[in-house]
Amino acid sequence: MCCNDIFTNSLHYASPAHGGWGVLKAGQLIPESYHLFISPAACGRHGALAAQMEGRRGTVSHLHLTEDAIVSGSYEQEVLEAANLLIEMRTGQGLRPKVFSLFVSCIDDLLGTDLDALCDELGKKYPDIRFISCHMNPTTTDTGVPPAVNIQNKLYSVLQKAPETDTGVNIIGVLQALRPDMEIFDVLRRMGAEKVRHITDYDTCEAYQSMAKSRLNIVVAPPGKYACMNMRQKLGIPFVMALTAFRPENITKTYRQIANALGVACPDLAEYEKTAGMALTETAKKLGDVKIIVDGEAINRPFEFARALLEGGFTVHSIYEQKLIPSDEEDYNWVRENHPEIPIRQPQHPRMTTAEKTAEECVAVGYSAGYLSGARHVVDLGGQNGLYGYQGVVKLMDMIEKAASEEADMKKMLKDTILVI
Amino acid sequence: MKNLWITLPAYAPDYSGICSAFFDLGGVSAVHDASGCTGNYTGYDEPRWFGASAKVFCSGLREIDAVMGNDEKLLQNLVSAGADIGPTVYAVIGSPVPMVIGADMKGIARELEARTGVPSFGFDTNGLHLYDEGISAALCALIGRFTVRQERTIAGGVNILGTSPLDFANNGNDVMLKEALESKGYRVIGKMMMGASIDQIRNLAAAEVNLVVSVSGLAAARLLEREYGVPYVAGNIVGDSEEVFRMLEQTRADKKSRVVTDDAGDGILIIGEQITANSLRRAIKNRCPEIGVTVAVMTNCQASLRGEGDIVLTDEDSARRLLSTGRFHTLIADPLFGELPEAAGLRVISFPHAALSSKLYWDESPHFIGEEAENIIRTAASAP
Repeated sequence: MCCNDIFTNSLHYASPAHGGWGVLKAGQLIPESYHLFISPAACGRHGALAAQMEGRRGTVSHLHLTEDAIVSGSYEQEVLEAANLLIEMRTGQGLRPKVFSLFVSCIDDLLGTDLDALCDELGKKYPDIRFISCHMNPTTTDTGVPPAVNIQNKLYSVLQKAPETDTGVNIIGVLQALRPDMEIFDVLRRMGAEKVRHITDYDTCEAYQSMAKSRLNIVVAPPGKYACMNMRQKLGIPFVMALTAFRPENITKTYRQIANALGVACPDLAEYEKTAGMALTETAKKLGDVKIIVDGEAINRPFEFARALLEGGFTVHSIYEQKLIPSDEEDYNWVRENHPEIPIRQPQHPRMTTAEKTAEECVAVGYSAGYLSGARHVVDLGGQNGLYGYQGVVKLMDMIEKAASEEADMKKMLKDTILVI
Repeated sequence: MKNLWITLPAYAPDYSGICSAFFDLGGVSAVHDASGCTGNYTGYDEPRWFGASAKVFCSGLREIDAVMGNDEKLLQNLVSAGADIGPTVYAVIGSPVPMVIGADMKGIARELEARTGVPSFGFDTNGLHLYDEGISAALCALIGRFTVRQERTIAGGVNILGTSPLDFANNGNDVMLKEALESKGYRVIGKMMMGASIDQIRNLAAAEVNLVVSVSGLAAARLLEREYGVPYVAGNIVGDSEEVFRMLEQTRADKKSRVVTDDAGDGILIIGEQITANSLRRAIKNRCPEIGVTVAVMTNCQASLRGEGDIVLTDEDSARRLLSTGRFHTLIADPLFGELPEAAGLRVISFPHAALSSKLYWDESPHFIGEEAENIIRTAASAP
């Protein structure tokens, strides 16, 4: 659990702070889409409740499978019947969907429902609607296409090749739009990208198709890479890996990679880099002895962030990360080599349930680290947080400083944050 | 359409019921799933989870383990967690994938107990059944394993069977129930399962009578009656009603089990857990005997508790059709039923049920005993 070099396999503890968007919410980002969730009753419960809490319940229905239906396979006919009913219902409401998804859960990987055949059959009946299959199957978490990756691929699979390309670029990998005050929009404009597109910009499926016109996909978080590989093949849009970073020099390097991918010169970023660097060092000074706890559920690459903090003069109390991702390996090795005293904790390890809470004055950056460590101060930050680039660093430093000045009400924070596992 | 849920969420599943029942026992519970099933329980079916010391885990089931039938990984991880935690018991809990691959949860539990010496229970839950069946299965398994015959009964000894936050919320309803019984001179031996312990389970047979406050406790009551001769009363104390106390005294005297139930009638529709709904109906009818009240049950409905004309709801469609009949002017139910279009025009009295609406309304759950429930009864008994 905290042996610093071992990410162990164990039973998983799901603390009240563990969770994120869930794949259904991600699927619902497709404009004018409707979703039929086909599963045992239990599998759809948390998604339905979270949707109700967030006002998304209107675009998803659940077909509960019975034991008989699972054994006999008779549910395939029920799926067609349910889809027909729902499409007619939505049409009657003036809300005929443009995209209709058949969502299945883990057991479907074992049952082997022919979802393509169902989509084909529905597509013949409703040629104006695009039918896709989506999977909520965390049993595939350790495969090449885990649910978080697969759903992003589905989001963009409904885009059709555009007859022509424009100067726009797409932001891929994050489900929440980047904050408008991030400098990336200005930098990209200076690189000649007139439009910076994200899936959340669109209310209609027709408008959403404009993402297919973009000349480049910018992957800012790892789960978007697989979708971009497929978009490159299907739509001819190249992509560049430009993962969210917090070390100013890494951010500069990332922008240079984007410029290179666009075939333009990178604008001068020295002022930006200086500002971000100063934000780190000044916040570190202000915090003094207050230590930082890093949370891999809030920050995609917690070791890169920890390194940025350490180089900025912070003291890092501990790092919570369940499993090291390849894009964070270099910084993990740096942290281990240069700061072997920093404990690395797996937030889902059973020993977390018996671990003592920290008595030290700390700011936890993320919910899981906040809950598990017992830190008095917690930055209200989930995995979809819209931070990017130099301004992402500045903004996060502001948030850390603010969190350090007030005691966190963890229970309220979690109540206000709808988390789905 | 049958089995199509357009507006309502599913009720809490069977595996959440097992986890809920084991919550206070100091054990290690593991749902054999990938993550979402455990997430259902910890995120949406357990109002006590924040700050809890209960050890409920997910097995982290992966496709390759499912395909290869690799139970060894689960066993090793259970043993390892137990070595860190020192559990009183283990519960190994099934989910949909183990059902499909035919995992033998009871067999895994037997193997676990052989390796650790810790009493272990396996449950073939699959997410297709409801929480009350899970609680019921857990309670019966625990009684079968731990309850011992007593040389003599304790005068006034009573067990409460069937409390769970999924029916009773986490607002002190369970504590108020215990205090109400104690205020009448009863000695509460077992609080099953809110506030339960292994020691309490050992001593359940010392009770003179069992009070079954939800369907989750009924099978356990029947088991205790069959094995140890302890009769039961199936009813909940709602409002200021003395009804349940009278029945408990009668049952103590004649050793005959009793249930609160009445025949259905048009006017008021209560949708909810069957025993509390029956008890609420009785309280309303005690206040206003001529009023018609029908109980409709979407969780497990027991024939022995069902009044003539009461209704079993199987899915959202059946609920919508019932609400459309025009037979009722008042609906007492979870607010989510009140939000169905077919409930428009009905007087809706909110009666949140955590097993359905989870954290959407569980902070608004009423106290069953005292003024909050009395208000509901008064409102229901008044003209709409």
